[in-house]
Amino acid sequence: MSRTLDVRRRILEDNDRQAAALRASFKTGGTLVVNMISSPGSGKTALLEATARDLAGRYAMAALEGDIETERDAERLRARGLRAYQILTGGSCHLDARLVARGLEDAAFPALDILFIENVGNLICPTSYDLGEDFKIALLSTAEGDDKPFKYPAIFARAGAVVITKADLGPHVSFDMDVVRGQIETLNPGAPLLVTSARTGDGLEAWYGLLAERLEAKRRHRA
Amino acid sequence: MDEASKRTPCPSRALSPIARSEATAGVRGEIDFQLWRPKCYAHLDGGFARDDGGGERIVHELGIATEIYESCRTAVDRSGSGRLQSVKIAVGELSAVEPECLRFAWEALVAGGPDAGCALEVEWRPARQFCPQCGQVKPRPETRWLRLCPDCWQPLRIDGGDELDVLEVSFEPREHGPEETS
Ligand SMILES: Nc1nc2c(ncn2[C@@H]2O[C@H](COP(=O)(O)OP(=O)(O)O)[C@@H](O)[C@H]2O)c(=O)[nH]1
Ligand SMILES: [Mg+2]
Ligand SMILES: [Zn+2]
Repeated sequence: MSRTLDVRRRILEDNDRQAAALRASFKTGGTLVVNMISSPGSGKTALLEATARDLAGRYAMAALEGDIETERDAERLRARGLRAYQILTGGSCHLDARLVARGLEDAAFPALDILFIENVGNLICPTSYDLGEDFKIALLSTAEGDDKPFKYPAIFARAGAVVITKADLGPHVSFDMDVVRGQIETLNPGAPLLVTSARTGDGLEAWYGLLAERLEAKRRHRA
Repeated sequence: MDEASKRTPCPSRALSPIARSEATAGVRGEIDFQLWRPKCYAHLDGGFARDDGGGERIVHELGIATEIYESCRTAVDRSGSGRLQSVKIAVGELSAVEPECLRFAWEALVAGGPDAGCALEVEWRPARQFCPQCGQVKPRPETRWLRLCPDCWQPLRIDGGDELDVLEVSFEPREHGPEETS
């Protein structure tokens, strides 16, 4: 005779609980947290390098760098004067809240205005894992092709903003911005869509503006 | 880094080096449990699902399968324990989980252990496109998206599709005789 139990539990409940604790502590600290998700090589680290260079005097910032192997990205950012701590996942395709909590403990950053979390390069897996962030951004480089939002709807539908990177390469790879805009407006109406190039600096002001606006909104809600 | 120190047993059974599953449509491959680690699941080049190039997918779904297994095992152990027979879960279209990869990972995970053969039943939950203007969900073709509301041409909001839940677990309670432990 078999028995059936009603379980009704989020599969990632443990992660969600840990993420909620992180979110509460970021709220207390007034730190804006941005979870950056893209394929490998889309330009997450390059965008952070530019951000570190341009906003250094304005905000206290730091980055948690998620990678399967190597300290390279954290070193790139430290070379630009950004506090950076490398989380090596040792095989996992995404960061989870536990890895972030542990990384923050080890990193012992001072009080921060903005914490960037550069997730492991992967457009799918990181989407399911809440890290306690204020919002996720999905980055898509022009070289990856303009059909990607519909191919990976989960991240593009749930991101708080979409950042197109390597705009300077767009003309060389027949990247059609209107096609992408249509897909984003379908999956995520109203989501900010920024077109940037870390190489030429195009569009970076809009990115900084978005950060400033979200940080201000967060601080306002806290008050 | 010392590989051996990172290994911990697969939660479903004692280590067996390779689990192979070809029964699930669309996904074939192997999982190397020698490289198993809880939650973080092994090296991508360690050869999960070598033959379809989808190794990274399997790594992810194997992690999800483990979470499912552990919560079902815990729930059943709290109710007197016994062998798992079937598990029902809900997977949303926007949950970033591929049901075929998940079934494959599940099969490999339970194979050869005390709960071998436990079925994983997946309820697929498509995302819905809702028109705030009309106040209605607009039917959409499977896997395609409506650009705007077909009735009022306003943008549509996407609701649901984020589900990733264990719904229920069926098991054979242990009380049925001592011989079943052999
Ligand atoms: N042309 C061009 N190349 C870029 C740009 N941003 C990044 N890259 C290059 O793309 C490669 C991958 O960038 P990286 O920041 O490491 O990507 P990540 O893996 O997402 O962190 C590097 O060689 C960068 O120099 C850009 O705006 N324009
Ligand atoms: Mg990087
Ligand atoms: Zn309508």
